[in-house]
Amino acid sequence: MLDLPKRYVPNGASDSGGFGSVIYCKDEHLDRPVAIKFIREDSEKHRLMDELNALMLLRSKHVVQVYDIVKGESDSIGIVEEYIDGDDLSNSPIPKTSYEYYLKTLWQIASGIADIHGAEVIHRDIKPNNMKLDKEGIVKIYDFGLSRDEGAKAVTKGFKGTFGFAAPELIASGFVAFSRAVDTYAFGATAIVLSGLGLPDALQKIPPQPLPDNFMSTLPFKLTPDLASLITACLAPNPNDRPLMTHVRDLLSRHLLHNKHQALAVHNNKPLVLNSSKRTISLRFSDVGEIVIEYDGFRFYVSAVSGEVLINNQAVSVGKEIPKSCVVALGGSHRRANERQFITFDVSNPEVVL
Amino acid sequence: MTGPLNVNEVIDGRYQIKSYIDKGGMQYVYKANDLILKRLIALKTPQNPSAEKRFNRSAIVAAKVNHPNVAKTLDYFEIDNRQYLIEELIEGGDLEKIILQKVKYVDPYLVAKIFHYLAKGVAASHHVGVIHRDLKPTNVMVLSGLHVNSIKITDFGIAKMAEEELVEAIEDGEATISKSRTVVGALPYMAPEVISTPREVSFPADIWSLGAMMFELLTGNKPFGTGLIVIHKIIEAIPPEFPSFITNKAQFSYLSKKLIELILSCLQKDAATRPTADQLVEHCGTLCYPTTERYVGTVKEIRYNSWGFISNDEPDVFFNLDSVYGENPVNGSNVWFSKFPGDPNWRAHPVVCLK
Amino acid sequence: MHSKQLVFDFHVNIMTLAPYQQNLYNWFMRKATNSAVRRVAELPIAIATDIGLVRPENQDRSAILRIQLTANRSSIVVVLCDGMGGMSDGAECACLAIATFLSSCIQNVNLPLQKRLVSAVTNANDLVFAKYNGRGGATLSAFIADSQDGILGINVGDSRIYSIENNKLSQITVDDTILGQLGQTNENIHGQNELLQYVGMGQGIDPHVIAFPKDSPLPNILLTSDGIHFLDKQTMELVIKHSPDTAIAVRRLIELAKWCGGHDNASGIIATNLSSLLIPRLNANLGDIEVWDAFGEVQLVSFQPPCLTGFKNERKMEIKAPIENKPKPTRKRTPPNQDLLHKKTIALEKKNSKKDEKNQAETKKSIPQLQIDFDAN
Repeated sequence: MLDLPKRYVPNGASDSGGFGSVIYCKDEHLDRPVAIKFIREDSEKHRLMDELNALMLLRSKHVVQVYDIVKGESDSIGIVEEYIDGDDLSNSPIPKTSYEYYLKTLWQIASGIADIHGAEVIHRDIKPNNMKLDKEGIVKIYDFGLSRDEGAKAVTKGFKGTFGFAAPELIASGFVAFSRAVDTYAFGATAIVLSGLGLPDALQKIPPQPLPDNFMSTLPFKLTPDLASLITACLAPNPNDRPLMTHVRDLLSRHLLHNKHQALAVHNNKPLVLNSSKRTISLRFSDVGEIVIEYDGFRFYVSAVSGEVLINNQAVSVGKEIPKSCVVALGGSHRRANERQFITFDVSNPEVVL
Repeated sequence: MTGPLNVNEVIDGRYQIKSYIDKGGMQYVYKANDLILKRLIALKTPQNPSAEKRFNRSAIVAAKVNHPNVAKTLDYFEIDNRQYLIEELIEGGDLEKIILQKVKYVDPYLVAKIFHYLAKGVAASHHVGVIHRDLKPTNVMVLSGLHVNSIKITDFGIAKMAEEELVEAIEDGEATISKSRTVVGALPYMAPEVISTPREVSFPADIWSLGAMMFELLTGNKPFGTGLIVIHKIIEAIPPEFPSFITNKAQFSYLSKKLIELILSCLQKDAATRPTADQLVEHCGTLCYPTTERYVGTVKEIRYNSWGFISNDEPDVFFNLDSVYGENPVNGSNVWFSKFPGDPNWRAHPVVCLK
Repeated sequence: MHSKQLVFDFHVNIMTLAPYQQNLYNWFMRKATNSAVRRVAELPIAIATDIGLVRPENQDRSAILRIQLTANRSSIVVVLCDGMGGMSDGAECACLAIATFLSSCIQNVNLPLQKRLVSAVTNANDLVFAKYNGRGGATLSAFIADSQDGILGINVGDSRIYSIENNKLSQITVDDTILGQLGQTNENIHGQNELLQYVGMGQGIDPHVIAFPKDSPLPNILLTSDGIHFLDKQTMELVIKHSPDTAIAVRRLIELAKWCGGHDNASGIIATNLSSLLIPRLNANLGDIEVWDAFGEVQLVSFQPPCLTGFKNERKMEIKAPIENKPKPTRKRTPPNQDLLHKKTIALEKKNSKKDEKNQAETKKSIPQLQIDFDAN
């Protein structure tokens, strides 16, 4: 008989699946709905506990919160999670409604996975039906693939995950060494599915195959080349070729923040503002040195430089991105203070607004 | 140790008391070890019956907010008629103790960063329907002292849900419990409607408080002064004046002016015209501020009344008086600054005198 | 209390305050019964206090001070402090506030009334703040009736002074709460009833000087802590109207407060016939300084009237035993305070707290007083 702590009062609803079973409760202490997922303990109990502890410390807007751990029946343990009232992403039309929504959805997922990885946890079962959209339109990732022995359609011993989203290395061998790149692969597959295209045939093969060339151009949304190659790279057969999720997140936010940055340069006691409507400044100090800085909607970079110019005391080359906060010096360090000019340069920190 | 608990005492078979931290508004705060999850947490327990009345409710409300700029409520339970709240442990101190007691005012760069972080925390809170109602410097925690690595809003002791009726109409005679808590500390940050029409208080009250705090950081003054007269000044909500040093240096004037605009928008008498927390986050996102670390050092020499050097543990750091926010330092002044690589000396910017 | 010894490391004019201040502090900190009421010597004043039914200790302190300066001049101070329960050490704060206030009133007896009152509150505020750093404090309601300078009151916080005329109460103080300041009375919402200032808050304190109604004859006066005045005003008026005398009136107010929950400590002082307070006593001992609270009294003896010598030159004082059983002053050191015993006593006494008016006689019995003698040096 299940002996839950009294604070958790089951509301009668329950569910079961490959992961184990779940019951829905109200936490009387904090007056909130929770889902308690029971999974069997196994020989990797310590690792499981470590991961759960890490997840409990995780503070991500895009990951369902893990609140507590309780004893379940016999050998199982129960993971007390935040209950999200909402549709799972596989049923949601929202990502498909516009390019912007699509990118915002991908960015939220990438942020959540990056946060999970930041806590040194691998999700192992990233797919649209393991994500929910809450009432505010915030994507929440849940259902960590924490169970070791059981998995959906466990065709291969040790396999855990979902075909179509599982990376080739998970399927290729009988014993699987996880790396966080399996989540990156699953993210790539998820990105394609959320565009409305459906799971590509290549990914449904066992083991999954690389995407055909130019596949990304068949997507309903026209991705910029860097984004297209980013998602392609996520699906690289070799886990080492897949990008870090922080990188994926940052590239997506780069697009979402296009033309939203400001930079403030202060030179000779004059503030100069750079932004999408005023994209270029040039700084020149008599014959000593000159630098031109430009904003391309994504970043502030050096578009021309001549003479003695240092940024944070380092040599400058054309194309170099300006650090978010720096001092530009016109005049080399051999010169006296009055023969040098300094310009402070600060870039704004816009947020993706959902 | 102070308060009802002792070192090494284990609460609920799980939380082992390590040390007494402080007395908050109405509660004792301890540092404790969560023996199950093997992590340090803050354990809070009410000081008196009046604090108990809202303790559970405030835990429920606070637990709804999940954001890196808000101290996380982890759990709540009662044992032997005593209430306990488990919260994320923040090692540091509050904005009042860590910053306002150390410097007269804060340069616009750091104000912009704090503003942005707090706006994000408040926005997260508002998104889940929670009004904090008690935003003030002592309820903002600062990690790692003057380095200001992170900022977290804490103490949801009187927070409420937007849709919640004010449930605190007090029984006869229990009004006297109010004396366990004063509003002396909160008054300078109270929105006009909190004073005059407390039943109509909603999200914009937090925005006002945020603006009032930022005014104080930037100028060193409370926007409507101190003492009893504050009540009437706040109700009138005549926009406070900003001292001229805030904008009279080119290095700071652009950002200062942006901040002044934002702060005044928060301090509008009509709650409906104040920006929402989301709008504030967006506005703060357009501010250009560096996120570089802060250091403390001593001014070694000043030459030609125009530049000088600061010594700290590292090699001396060069600074120009143009980079000083507010009052200029003299030889021997302790200063607070950020620094950028330079040769032969690194360059300090901005520089603020410590008290 | 041994753990609450005062340590001063700041520069208030404490050297001259210290003799009275420390002794008064110790006196106010002495163990006491849960409930007491008394009439004050031949003065037309009754004073009462009660721990209530909920609080573990009484953090209210109230007292009457009389200084006989010359054959023609006396000064009477009536004061009530409500320690802030739940904040640090409410009782200690109240004791420190009231002791400092009174000693300052003695010290500055030659200052004009307003200055005297304001500096007494300022001194109390500084001292409490220096020790508790804003974490603890007390309200303070007081007035001085000085045969030379007249009557003036002062108020900080939400304890109150009422005038009583034709059995009607009018509050002549304004509560230092938002409701009080805005002149509203009926919203019990968080923040509205909480203190805007208190003795011990440090910077920014702005005590209200209270001019008394100049009617002739002068009205009667009631001082209350909020443990009493949460009661409906009309009810309070009826209680006063139907009480045969002031001591019974103030006692009944307290009993009524307890019947209505007894949530807080309750204290009250009723002073009648104020004009009589302004008439110097004949055949009084010059230099006598007497202090009464609801439990007992002390006499601080200065060998010469303070107004003639100033206290700087006069270091020798005694706290005499209660007047009821005037023993000759014997010289003893202050015994260490017995904190544990004190607590146990209170715990035992709690059971007896529901006394009715018939027991007044019993509660009137004052507690044996410490006899103290010291050199201020």
